Amino acid sequence: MTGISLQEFERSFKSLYKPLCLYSLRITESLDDTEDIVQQAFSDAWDKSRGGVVIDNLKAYLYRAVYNRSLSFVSQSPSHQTTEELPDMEDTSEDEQIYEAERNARLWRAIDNLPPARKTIFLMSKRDGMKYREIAEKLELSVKTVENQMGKALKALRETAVRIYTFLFCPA
Amino acid sequence: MKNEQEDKTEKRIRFVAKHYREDAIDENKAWQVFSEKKGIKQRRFTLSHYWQAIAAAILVCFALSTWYYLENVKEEWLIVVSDSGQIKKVFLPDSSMIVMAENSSIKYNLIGFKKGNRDVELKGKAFFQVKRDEDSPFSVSTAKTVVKVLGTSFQLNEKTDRTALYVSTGKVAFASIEGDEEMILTEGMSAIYTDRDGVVMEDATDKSNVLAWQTKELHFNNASLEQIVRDLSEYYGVEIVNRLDNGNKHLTASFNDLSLDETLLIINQTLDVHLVVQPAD
Repeated sequence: MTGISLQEFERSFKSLYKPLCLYSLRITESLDDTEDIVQQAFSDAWDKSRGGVVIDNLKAYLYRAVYNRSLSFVSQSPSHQTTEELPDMEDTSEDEQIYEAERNARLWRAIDNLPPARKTIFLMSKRDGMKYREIAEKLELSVKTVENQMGKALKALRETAVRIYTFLFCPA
Repeated sequence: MKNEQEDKTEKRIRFVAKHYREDAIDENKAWQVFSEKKGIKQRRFTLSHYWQAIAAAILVCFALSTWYYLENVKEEWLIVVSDSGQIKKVFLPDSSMIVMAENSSIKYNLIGFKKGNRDVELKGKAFFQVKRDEDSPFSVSTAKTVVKVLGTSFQLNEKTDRTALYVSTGKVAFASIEGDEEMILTEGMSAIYTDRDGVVMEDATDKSNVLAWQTKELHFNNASLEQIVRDLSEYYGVEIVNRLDNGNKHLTASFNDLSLDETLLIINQTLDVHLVVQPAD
């Protein structure tokens, strides 16, 4: 068998899945479609590899495939006309976009790892756009507690970013 | 520069939060979907080193507990056999003592015994001196009978067609293996179980020489010829018959570790009878 072993493929799958989804999400803005696209891209790479095609750089290949599939999805979807996100992406290099997708994957994981109550408050605020006062009323908490929890949640998320920046700008 | 970065971070947080959904884009779930679709066999033990370690730990625990369990419930049978012409003294874990006559064997489960199940199986003849322990009765089973005691000394003599019990000290309960009513015997009493009768019955015959195989001394106190023949046969392990019926004779004598020939010679001369060894068939 040429190229990639099953173990390697599984390892790549698990480490690349989230960043690829977040990469695609930038374009499609739809979580479910994004997961389908990424699954398809992996499926395609797997079939090619089993069929004897040597994929030199699986990561680059997958990002390219996900990008193309995401674009064609958006262009076929009537709900997505020209999105505002696309020009935003175009003025950064492909490498930077991949890097951003990886950082976003870390943020996603950081949200995953928030304590349940803090996560709920964070998502009510940032995802659902609720005011602190509204959250406090709904959860029967004081506004102070909500503020406090939000502060801790944001700190945790920013710290994942800070670590990456530190690595980026201060390699010494 | 720093503010710009912070601004970007805030933007990214908003972006990720906007799309965040619990349990979405989970790589492990996605891999499961993928591998099922592709017919890839899930290799449980290579899913991750973490789970591998846990599985190994569980396996080790399981193996250890199984081993521990087997070690605790397993039986360890101890069998002691005496050869012909050999008297064997055996001390049990509870410091009870067994003196085995020749060609006898005892058997007990060492692990059970140490836990308080003081059960011994006997084939042949043996004298028991049982350490008193009211919480754990001591029992001896032969093929046909069971003796239960608390703490005493007694002798059991199992033969092909009968089992005889002699109580030296204390009190014992004697019953056939079928579990009919127990017979309680106290010091100096004897009982016998015969295949013919199928029950245990008191045995009133003279028991002066019942322990002779241990002491090597035979004592006759106004003993009938019938009793002499019986005790000598038992003591020397042969069948003795009288070839010269000479009326109702009685003997009072002691023999201290004499040979069969010497003993027979003395008795024949004293009583004017003709005791001989009946050759085996």
